[in-house]
Amino acid sequence: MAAPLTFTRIHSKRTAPVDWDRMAARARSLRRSKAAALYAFLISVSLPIILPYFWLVTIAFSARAGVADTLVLWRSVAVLAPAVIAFWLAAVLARSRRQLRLELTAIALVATTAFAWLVGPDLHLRNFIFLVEPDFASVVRSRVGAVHGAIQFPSVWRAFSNSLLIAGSQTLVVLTVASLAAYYLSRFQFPARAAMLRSLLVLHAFPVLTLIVPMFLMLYWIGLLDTLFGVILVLVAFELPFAIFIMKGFFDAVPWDIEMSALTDGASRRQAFLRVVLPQVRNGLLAVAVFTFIRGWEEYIFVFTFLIRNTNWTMSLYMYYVRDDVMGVDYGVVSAVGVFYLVPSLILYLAAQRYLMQMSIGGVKG
Amino acid sequence: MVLNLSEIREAMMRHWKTTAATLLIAALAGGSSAFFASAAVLAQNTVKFELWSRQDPSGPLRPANVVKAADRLNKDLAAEGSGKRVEVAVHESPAPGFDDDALQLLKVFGIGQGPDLFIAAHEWICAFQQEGFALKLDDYIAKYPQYFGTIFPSLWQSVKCSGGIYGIPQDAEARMFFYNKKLLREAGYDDAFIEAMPARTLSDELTMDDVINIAKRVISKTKAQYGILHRPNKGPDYIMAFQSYGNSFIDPGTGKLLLERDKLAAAFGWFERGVKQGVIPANNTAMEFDALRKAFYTGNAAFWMYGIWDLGTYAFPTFGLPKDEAGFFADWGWIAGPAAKKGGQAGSLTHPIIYAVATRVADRELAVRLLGHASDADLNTDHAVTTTHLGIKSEQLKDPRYADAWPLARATELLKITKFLPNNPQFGDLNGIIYTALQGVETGRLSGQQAADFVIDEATSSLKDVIVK
Amino acid sequence: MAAVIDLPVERRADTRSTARRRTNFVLFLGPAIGLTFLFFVIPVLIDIAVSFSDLDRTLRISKFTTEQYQKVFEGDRRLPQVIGLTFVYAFGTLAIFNVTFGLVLALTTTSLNKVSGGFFRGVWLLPRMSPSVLYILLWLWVINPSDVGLLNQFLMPLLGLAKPLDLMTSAPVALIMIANGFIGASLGMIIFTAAIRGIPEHLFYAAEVDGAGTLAKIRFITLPALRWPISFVTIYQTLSLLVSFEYILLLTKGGPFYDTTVFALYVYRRAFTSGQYGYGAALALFLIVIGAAAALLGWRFFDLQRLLQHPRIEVD
Repeated sequence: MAAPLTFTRIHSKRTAPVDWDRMAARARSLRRSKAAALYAFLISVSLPIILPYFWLVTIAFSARAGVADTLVLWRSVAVLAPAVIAFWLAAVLARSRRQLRLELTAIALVATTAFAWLVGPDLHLRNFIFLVEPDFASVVRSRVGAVHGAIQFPSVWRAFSNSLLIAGSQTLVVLTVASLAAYYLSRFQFPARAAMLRSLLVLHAFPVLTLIVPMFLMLYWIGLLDTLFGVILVLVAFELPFAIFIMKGFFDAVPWDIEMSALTDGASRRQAFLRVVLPQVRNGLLAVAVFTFIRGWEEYIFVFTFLIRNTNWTMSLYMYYVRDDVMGVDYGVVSAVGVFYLVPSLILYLAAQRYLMQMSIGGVKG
Repeated sequence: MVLNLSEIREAMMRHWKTTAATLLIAALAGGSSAFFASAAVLAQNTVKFELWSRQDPSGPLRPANVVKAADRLNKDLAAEGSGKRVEVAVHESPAPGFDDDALQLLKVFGIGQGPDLFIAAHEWICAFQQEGFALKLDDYIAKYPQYFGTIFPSLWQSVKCSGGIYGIPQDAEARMFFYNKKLLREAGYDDAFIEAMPARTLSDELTMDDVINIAKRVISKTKAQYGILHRPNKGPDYIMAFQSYGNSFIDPGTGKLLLERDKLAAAFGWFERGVKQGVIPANNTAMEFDALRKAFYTGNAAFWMYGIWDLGTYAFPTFGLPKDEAGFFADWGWIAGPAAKKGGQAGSLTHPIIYAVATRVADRELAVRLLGHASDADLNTDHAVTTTHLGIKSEQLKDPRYADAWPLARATELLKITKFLPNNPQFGDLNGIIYTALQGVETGRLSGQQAADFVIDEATSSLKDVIVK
Repeated sequence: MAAVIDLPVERRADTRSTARRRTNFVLFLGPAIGLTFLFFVIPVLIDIAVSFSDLDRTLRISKFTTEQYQKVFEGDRRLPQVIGLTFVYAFGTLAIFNVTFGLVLALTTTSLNKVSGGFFRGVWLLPRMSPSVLYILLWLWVINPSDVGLLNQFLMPLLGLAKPLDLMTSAPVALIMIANGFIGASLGMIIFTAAIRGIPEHLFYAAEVDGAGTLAKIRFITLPALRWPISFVTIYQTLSLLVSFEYILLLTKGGPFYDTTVFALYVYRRAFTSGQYGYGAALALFLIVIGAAAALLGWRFFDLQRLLQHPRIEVD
């Protein structure tokens, strides 16, 4: 623990006046330099993450003839970086809300005009050709020289809807099964309860990727190999322990009174569950839904292994093959596909950010 | 507004006239369509074939020819008075190479979802045959000499498996080392030397190590970055180098896979020397095809170990190399695969792609007739001249388009010394192991000798009946 | 939290309620139990069965044999290298990124004001939230071994290099460690942040008054409070690193030769690339056993009392 307080210095210098202003100034500058150092460190460490994503978006909207135009990238950085710094400084140094709002609008105006002037002319939507033209690979290749035929991609909307189907069905099924099971585990006593909860713990931590070989064989023997249904089932089963865990935590936190009053009013247990308790755990349902959806949206390895004939493309496979085939020829289209693939995940992620920070990991000690 | 049964009944009674009319029209429509459908069924039955093809910019007419053949066959069937018609649906697989595609197709057949017809690289046909996926074609071929009689006899070697024919050759080609004469001139070689290179290779004077030396001089004296480039995935080309060092991979007596340690080590040693001298880039196996082609055709590499069809598919259209013979050979050229040492044997590799029929196909004879039409001389010449492949039938040589395609004529010279890959069902897997070892050698993880040991270890543990010497 | 009314005694006499209880059980727990049994228990059994057979690409078993295990223990020359790499990779990534860097991030972002701290935490969560194919695509661009690679664009003028760097060939293990580390650091960051936020503020004020500097505060207040979260992250992430290979497969496909083939990826390569399903199953069994053991070990870190807390009521 901290060393006990020593009074020697104050005793010995009882007569000399203490320069409080200087000490306060020193403390302030020390605090500011510490904050600056922290910011410098965090910015330099976060740059390797921010830059590539920024690059992705910029190239998607500006690359021409397949070549990534780095000048555009640096020009947009030159506009955005000072703008962000200016925003931040304004937020820190502003003295009143009104001044803050004025300053922010001023900076926003300047930044937008600078952006429009420097970078605007280079922006275009031609890289999003894959949205309207399924055979974009041929078009792209023909821009760099005649080629007799390239990979025939299915329509991106087909892959998009397949991904939506997988992620959506998985989310729905997981939500249903997990909330049912979690409610029962939270509210009822039955002989195998403790054992079930303990095994849930083990399953939650169990590495599901190790089961990929027997999963493949099992799906083959059942006859569900190469079907979207098989993939959905597998994904559901593997997300289930985690989802049950989280939901049980939420159910445990719901006060008993509401349920009891519903039961005394004559509702059955099932009705109480549906009408009374479920609305209470809305936050939990939302959190699980978002996580599961994002997980299903990015799913690559099970889709890659279990879908053999590739007639059912998903966005992850589409992205993979676009990169494989077109990247050497056209960076712009690849990044446009990347942006298109990223946007749903990003939206969900931003919407769910609050839950991420607040969620408890099902009862960790400490 | 909630409707209940009584209200519906009331509504129906009120509008009974319109209800009756609707029902009558529906009945008429349903009945007539059923009648026409059944009539159509009686008149024609369409046999649908699914063709599995790999998406390959250097061979788009392979599947397209089968689709065209369907029209021709339908005309024949109509002329014969048969009610059958054929329809071809092409399934394109996005595999990056024929080896990956064959592995994928084997998996697809394994789970019982195979196609009716498929296009594959010839050395894999015995793997399909061994697992019972490919149909034996001898009887059908004998029955239709008009389709198959004039195919070059030597090509049939590439589709034979344990005494039977299991595929129809679709094309042939030749593989070589392309070289950039401009770069060699810049590096200080005189024209006499440069022009004599092909002949010297064929007479077994120019050796594999000579090629490394030439490449080394090029990269040290010019701005070129690379000396020798080869394909970045599994395939037949680099096997040329192995064949130069005496690896035949097949025991002639038993037909089993044969691995000879010192010959393997010698072949890997060539690659090792190439990388150590900076001539072969260490990350060749990780580069992209586009990048490699760009490097060679824009004058950044001295040698490109690849095949003749690259000219028609990429060199002429995309990189604008001169299309006329004189213009081309002024700045570019090719040599056969050199011998390992003086007095050895130069060689080339021909890698026919083939059509095959699956055993599960509903109408076998129709399938073979379809492929027969797909092998018509004019369709095959379309494919040959547009993508610079060699044809399969002797009468194609008389086609003026074929004669105009000078790369084909010049490449035909190499056919005298060319070899096929062995038609052993496990060779495809062995090639995969060799490629992995090649990657290990080039990235410096394995020495030549270690690579040979690796190949033998892996082959003996994962393949059956491998003879090791 | 409202007072919990525990009614410990159940009324079992009524047969109608017993029937209803049983249907409730089936209705609520049936699907979950069915799915977990089908997709967790049965695959393990299948794996054990297949590992004793010679299943290969033809997907037909012709005989049952122990040759796969013989191969594992005697014949496989790649295995020692693979196992060694797996340990180096798992513990390296864990030590450098998941725990240490996660801790650093948590400490630094919580020292800032809420908005800025939240912004940086959000940035660091971005890799985890992006689809894996996309994340790896960005990495491939960054390490592209030519002048257009982002890393080369920075480092070539900075370090004055003549030739562009090729990390994939020259430092593949470091590459996979960093790529996975970015993802792993974010989980530690969240958990540690939540724990740090839970430390009462007055402890820090008291320490400051006592003359503690920043480092002393971290050492004596923050770290002790984080003891359990750190252990939890260590165990959980060790397991996750030992068995996950998705990013490695996408990034290097197992590396030049077998350089970045960790054990789980080795199983995948053997089973799906070479078609040796029997051998893959045998190797996977070791992984399953380790996974189960580690998961059982993780019991200790869970507040079993709170988890198993007595259910609120037993009424039909």
